[in-house]
Amino acid sequence: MSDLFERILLLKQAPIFSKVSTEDLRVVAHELEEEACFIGERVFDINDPSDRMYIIEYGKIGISLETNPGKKEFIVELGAKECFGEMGMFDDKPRSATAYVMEDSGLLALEKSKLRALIINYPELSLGIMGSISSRLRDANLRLKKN
Amino acid sequence: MNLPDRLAKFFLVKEDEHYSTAYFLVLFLLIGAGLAVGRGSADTLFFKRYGIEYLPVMYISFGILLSIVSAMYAAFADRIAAEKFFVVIIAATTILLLGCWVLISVLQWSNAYPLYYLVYEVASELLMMHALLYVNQNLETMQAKRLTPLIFAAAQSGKIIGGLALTFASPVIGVQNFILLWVALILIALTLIIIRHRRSGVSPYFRSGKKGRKGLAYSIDQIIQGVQFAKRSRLLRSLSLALFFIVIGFYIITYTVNSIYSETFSTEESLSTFFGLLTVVNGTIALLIQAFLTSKLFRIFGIKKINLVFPVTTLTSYLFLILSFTFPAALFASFNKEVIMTAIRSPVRNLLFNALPDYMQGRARALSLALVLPCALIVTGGFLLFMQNLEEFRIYLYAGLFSVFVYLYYNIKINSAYVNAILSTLRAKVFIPEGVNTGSIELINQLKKGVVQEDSDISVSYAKLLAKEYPEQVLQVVLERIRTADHALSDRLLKLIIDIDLREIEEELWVILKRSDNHLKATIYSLLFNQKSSRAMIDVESCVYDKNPRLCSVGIYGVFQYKIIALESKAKEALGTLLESKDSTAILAGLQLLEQHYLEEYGPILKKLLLHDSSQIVKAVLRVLYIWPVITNNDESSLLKNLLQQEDPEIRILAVDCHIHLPAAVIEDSALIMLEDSHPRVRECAIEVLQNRSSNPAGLLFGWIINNKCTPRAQQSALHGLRLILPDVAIYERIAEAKVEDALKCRAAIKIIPDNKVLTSQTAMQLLQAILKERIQQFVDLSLASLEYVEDKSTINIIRAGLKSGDNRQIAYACEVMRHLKNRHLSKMLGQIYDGGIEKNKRYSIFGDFKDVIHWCTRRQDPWVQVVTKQIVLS
Repeated sequence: MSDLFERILLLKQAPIFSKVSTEDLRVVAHELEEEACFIGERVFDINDPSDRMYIIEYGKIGISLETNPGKKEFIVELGAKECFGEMGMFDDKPRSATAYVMEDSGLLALEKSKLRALIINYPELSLGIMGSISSRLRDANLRLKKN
Repeated sequence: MNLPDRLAKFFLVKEDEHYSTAYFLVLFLLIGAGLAVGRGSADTLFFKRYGIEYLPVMYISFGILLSIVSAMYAAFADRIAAEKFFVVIIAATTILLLGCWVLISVLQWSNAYPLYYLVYEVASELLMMHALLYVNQNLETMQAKRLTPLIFAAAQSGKIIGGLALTFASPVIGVQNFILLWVALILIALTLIIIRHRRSGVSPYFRSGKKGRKGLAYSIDQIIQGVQFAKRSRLLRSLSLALFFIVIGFYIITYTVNSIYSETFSTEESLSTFFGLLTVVNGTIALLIQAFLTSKLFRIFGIKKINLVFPVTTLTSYLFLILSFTFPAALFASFNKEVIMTAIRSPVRNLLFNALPDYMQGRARALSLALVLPCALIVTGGFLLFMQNLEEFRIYLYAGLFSVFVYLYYNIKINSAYVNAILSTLRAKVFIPEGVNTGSIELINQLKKGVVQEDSDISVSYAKLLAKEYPEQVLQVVLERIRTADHALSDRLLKLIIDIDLREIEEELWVILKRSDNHLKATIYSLLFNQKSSRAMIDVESCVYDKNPRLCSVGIYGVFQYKIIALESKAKEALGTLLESKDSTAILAGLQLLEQHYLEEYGPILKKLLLHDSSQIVKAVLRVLYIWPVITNNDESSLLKNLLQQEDPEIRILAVDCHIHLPAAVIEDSALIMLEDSHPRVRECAIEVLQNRSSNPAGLLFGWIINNKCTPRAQQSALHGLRLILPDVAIYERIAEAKVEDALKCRAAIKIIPDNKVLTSQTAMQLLQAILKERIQQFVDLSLASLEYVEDKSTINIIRAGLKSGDNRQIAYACEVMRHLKNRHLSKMLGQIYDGGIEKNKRYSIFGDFKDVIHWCTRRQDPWVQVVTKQIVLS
């Protein structure tokens, strides 16, 4: 039970689920699958199918737009409680970046098909996700305006 | 708890605000001390070395100068972050002050005294005005409301220190040398500002205005925009007119009291010592009021009542001076303009300005400084100059009295405009349209365009909307789309027009029929049979005998529709075959027919089909059962109850719908399970069924909501249902209050949880905190939803959107609007949820310790809270 609670809290802190109620996150937490990744590995490559999203339990993941695997220039480095690969869950397009494991990491993966099934059964889940995405969009707009 | 923490708690400073509050306190202390030193020295030097009779000329000169400087200020106020602009203002003031000091002390130029007086007046206006803008760019409205009185208190402390320095040091160092002290103080302030913003970056609430024209033309544009906005904004218009009249009243009273003081104190030293003492005494009283009273007065009486205090005390000052032109009356007037104005009027005005949109605040302040204040000063100076020539000179006091009456009138107008101004600012921020244009030709044309575009799903969606809202418009456009559509899309579109009179398009339907596959043929025949087309009747028999289940089903439908008795037994036999077939398509075709023509003998087959593996078939059976009362008694209700646990939400929705034929007691028994469903449509259906079947649906729903018999989400649905059947304002006020009380209890519970870190189940406690936070939001939502019935619905919508925006400033606006709802008790309670008042409200201190919280959580009929609480108890 405490494992489930930890997952719910982790999901609640992940930006994409921050506006989803803990009650609805219960069902999401049940669908998460643990994945262990080790330094130097890649979680996914550019143009891979976007079949799942990830939430980082611990460790560090670097996101790179480089198509050349030799070049590791990260546009962003993500740590615990952050998520990646979530945009592909909704737009059905292939991965637009490569995710490198910078430190041994524990990831929680959520399959696209499972999330979609959940959304059909728990429509308010999608409202929370849309709320979170909308907040991020507003923040991005403000940052753009400031710059 | 140590002393700084206790002080912070007393002054409502939150934990993460300690550093920034300390910074603002020191900054305003320095600015305040500088202004006190400047005020005392400028007044003394001017009155004693130049002559108070020239004060009206100073007012006119100050007015002209201020309009020029302010126009320059307006050019940059919105475009440059306040901290950067501070550097410019302080540097310019320093240079001017040093220049004055040289002219007075070294060159001993007599015209330097009016010059210094003017430098002081302009610099003090600009510094305070800009300091307030700076605060607004660094604090959101709720923060500003809590902390502004404290920050003003720091400025007041600075004034006391400055006054003390004047009192004791002026005979020693000479009045003119206080100019250097002022320079030193503002340079320290400047250093602080630079250090802070190197660390923390640009002010968080600074929003740069549009870049474009620069210079004087831009400044004039800014002021013109301010004027134009004042035409639209009742609040800004009233604020500007109030300022105009209080400036006249204020400067007339200033002239009067300074005349009395100059006559009373004959020497420069005695006058400067008196000014110092006056500053210390008034400053101390103002400080005490600001520190211990101002924020409490705001909380108890609200902005509107406090806004009327200064006009009333100023009227009293005038009455005293008119009745007795003496030193004590002058002292009271000084008390009013230095204590009441500082401790009450300035914070109120600042909060009122905050109600204006962010992008306009700089322009509005520029309008005040560059136009309103200078105009009022010039009018006052000219008027006093004119009055100096009259024998009955003191008659000018009546003019001041009149202007204060007008000032009071505009303050009353400000009060009525204040909440509306916040609402419109918030409305613009949360993008709530003022009204939606429906039913227009443009809208119908847009819908038609949507139907004829290429994507099948979008086309069907538009056609659905058009068929529902404007059925008379849908036929031709659907036919137009079918001409280029494939069979599947044609089939979907034709099903949308089944209930519309199709005579005008029958010929076209026959044309389409000729090129159709069996599926589409079945749909077209069903349309034609439905319309009892005489031409189609001939085809009924061939359809009944057709091997295609859909065509067969349509044929059976035709037999019943045209009442062809000769074919009835064949039709019933064919229907039985369809329903008992192993082919799902055949069963579905049969069920589709039963939706339109129920035949009692098929009841047992339907009940059997409810247990079918195919969800499609179960749904089709439920659709039939909804229309025809097959399951009507308690014994068979378990067949439907079991379906409420199905994963497919559509099955749950249909199962709830079918409860409509069951006895009321069975429905009431299952209603709470239905209301707790994860799908909103299931909850809505449950309410509909309850409303139709229960003898007392309103009583049940009200009881569940008020007694928290279900989760807030279920309560939300229950409330929605209640609003459709019970138009009783008092009930909704009661619900709104009960829900705010629930929210306050959740908040009190959260406050207890962090103090119990010794327990092992930290994760569960963190989760409980997160859930209770969500519950607060949900209870506030419920309360606001109830209030829609009591208060103005659009106002409640704006408040809700503001609270959910996630932007502190919009949340603050929403809270401010909540404080002005009609139900004062409720608005006060809602305010407590967001402004921290709960800590001081004994009523909600129901929890002595963590055990109390756990006990309370366990007793709540909230399954999710119970699960988490149970885990904490087990740990």
